[in-house]
Amino acid sequence: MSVIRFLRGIIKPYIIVFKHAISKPHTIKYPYERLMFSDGYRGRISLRFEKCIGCGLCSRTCPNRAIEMVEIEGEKHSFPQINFGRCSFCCLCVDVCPRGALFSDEVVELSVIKRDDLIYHPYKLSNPQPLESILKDLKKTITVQIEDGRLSYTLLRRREENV
Amino acid sequence: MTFIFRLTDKMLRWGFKSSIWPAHFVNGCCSPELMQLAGPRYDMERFGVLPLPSIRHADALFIVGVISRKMADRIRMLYEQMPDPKFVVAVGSCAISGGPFYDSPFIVKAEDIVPVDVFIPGCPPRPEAWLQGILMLREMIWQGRKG
Amino acid sequence: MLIDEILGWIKLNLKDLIQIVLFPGIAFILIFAVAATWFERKYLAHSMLRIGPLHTGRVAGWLQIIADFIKLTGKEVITPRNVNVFLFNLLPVLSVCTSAIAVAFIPFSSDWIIYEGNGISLLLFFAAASLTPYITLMLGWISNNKYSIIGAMRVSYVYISAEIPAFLAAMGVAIMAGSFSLIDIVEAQSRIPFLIPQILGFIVFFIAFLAEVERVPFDIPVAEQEIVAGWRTEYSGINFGVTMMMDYIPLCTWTLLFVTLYLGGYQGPLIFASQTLSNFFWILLKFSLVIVVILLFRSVFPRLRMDQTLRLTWKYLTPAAFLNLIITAIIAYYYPDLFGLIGAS
Ligand code: SF4
Ligand code: SF4
Ligand code: SF4
Repeated sequence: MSVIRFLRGIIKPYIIVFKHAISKPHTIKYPYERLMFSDGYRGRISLRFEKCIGCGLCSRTCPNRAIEMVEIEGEKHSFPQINFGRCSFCCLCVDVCPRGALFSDEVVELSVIKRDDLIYHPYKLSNPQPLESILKDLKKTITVQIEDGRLSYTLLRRREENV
Repeated sequence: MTFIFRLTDKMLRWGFKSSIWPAHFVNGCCSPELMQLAGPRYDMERFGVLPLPSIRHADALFIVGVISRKMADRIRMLYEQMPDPKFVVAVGSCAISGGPFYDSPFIVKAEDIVPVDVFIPGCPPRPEAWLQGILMLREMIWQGRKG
Repeated sequence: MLIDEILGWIKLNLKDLIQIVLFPGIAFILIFAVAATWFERKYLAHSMLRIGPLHTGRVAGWLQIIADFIKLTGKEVITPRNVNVFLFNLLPVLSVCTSAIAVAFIPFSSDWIIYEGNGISLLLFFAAASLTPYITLMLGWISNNKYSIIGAMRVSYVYISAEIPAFLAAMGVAIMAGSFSLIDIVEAQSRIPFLIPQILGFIVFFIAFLAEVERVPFDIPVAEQEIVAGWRTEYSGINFGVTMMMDYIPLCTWTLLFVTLYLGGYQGPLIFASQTLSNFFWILLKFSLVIVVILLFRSVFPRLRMDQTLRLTWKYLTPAAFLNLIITAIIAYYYPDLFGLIGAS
């Protein structure tokens, strides 16, 4: 009996893995396809320049001290400047802003070659680079959907839509 | 003659670009994303990125997460043991600038100990962000730049 | 004049030269090493529902291994301090050469074999294949690194403990065929492959040869989680590329021996016009099937511990191989007619 159990323990996983080897892979071919995150995903922070009143609440709230208020010539008050090299994408600044001037989107592709490029001046913050210009090869995006109360997370049943 | 040099250079750059073997030095909580990156969903091996155990076989060093002062020595040692040409990728807010521990006296930034080529911000960076950093490194190698 | 002599010599030895340089010699082994590396990466990736190399080369990342080798040639070669520089750089090349010798004794057709070995090619195969662990041991020892030497010691442990059952199991086949010559062994399987009458020996030999080529679940000498990269920890650059190739050459030779001993070697129905081509087809087909089966072990099974491996080989495989040998010998002595039934001598 134990011999049979032993042999089953060898043969059964082998068959399972072999079935995997000949079935369709679950990979998202990333720079060409991209998974769209759920609503409210905390990604890059951007600024609505005209809404900000320079109260500095975001800067004081930030747990990482990633926001610095900078003066801009020709403007009456200062504006937030975010250092994404230090930000932990908690979005406390978005929550606390009394005017709703800060918002986050689902862009996470922020890699740079020079560290100083991670410090986003208010002007750069208010002109967020669209996803298509970061990922030039992006062909299609994949959306996770909820079907009958269950998260359909398999690529085999994915809904595809153009950006 | 120049043509042969150009060709060799191009071939080597192509080789370096399409087979980056990283060694990862993981200190912090960014590491689950690395597993995710090597796993079925994002699969960095599509680009020839194959994690290997020994630092002697590595082309790129992924410095992941928070670097304490004691670890800084080790990272420097690892970096010096890597064979040329070598590239360094700093992953996570902690490695770039301290992140949540920005004011701790025991935290060192990756750029202060080794020359870093690509910075990948995030806390932790999503696998997408990480892959984009790897693509950026590939592009950088292909154009022959150094960070 | 000299040219004429050389040309005459080449004409005289044309068949031998083709065998040594092209098939089943150097070119075959190198192509096998590259193709097997690519196939293993792709196959293992698919078994984990990944894709594996994809964006290097238009079709399925077929240029990936070539890119790896180009990169490795461009890397710096580090020689550690206090190391014999000459031996350190010579041994990887030597290991590839010595482990490739064994392919010379494998018959790919009744008239296509590099060296018949005067009727003892099975013994010669074991002698040649056993050179590899010595070189590996030296490779690990000379690196002047604790992980390397632990890996090298593990190589010798695993190899010796697996060599004995493998050899004893092969002896059963030799008794059955009545000869040590691999050609005779293959010819004796013309009616039924030795897989069926020698089932016990078959199982023992299969497990033992997995241990000898350091495949999972016996890849203890290069256990990543315990001893960084085993005996090849210190090798960098192209030296590392060569040691990586070293993995696949014993795999090639031992799998060929396995096919020859138990699966009927080059025997098979005639499908091409020429008997030789048909024989090539059959041995390569069986060879690829066995390779496909054992490469997948890497993503199925966990690694055995050192003591578990030794217990398995010494406590179970060696007695089983002895039992197989004794049964075969008794039948061969008292009831030799039984062998006639299945077509053996
Ligand atoms: S998201 Fe959090 S860490 Fe980043 S700037 Fe806003 S408050 Fe600071
Ligand atoms: S972004 Fe919002 S919280 Fe920050 S200074 Fe402007 S108005 Fe105040
Ligand atoms: S960047 Fe964030 S996730 Fe990464 S190690 Fe630091 S705290 Fe952890």
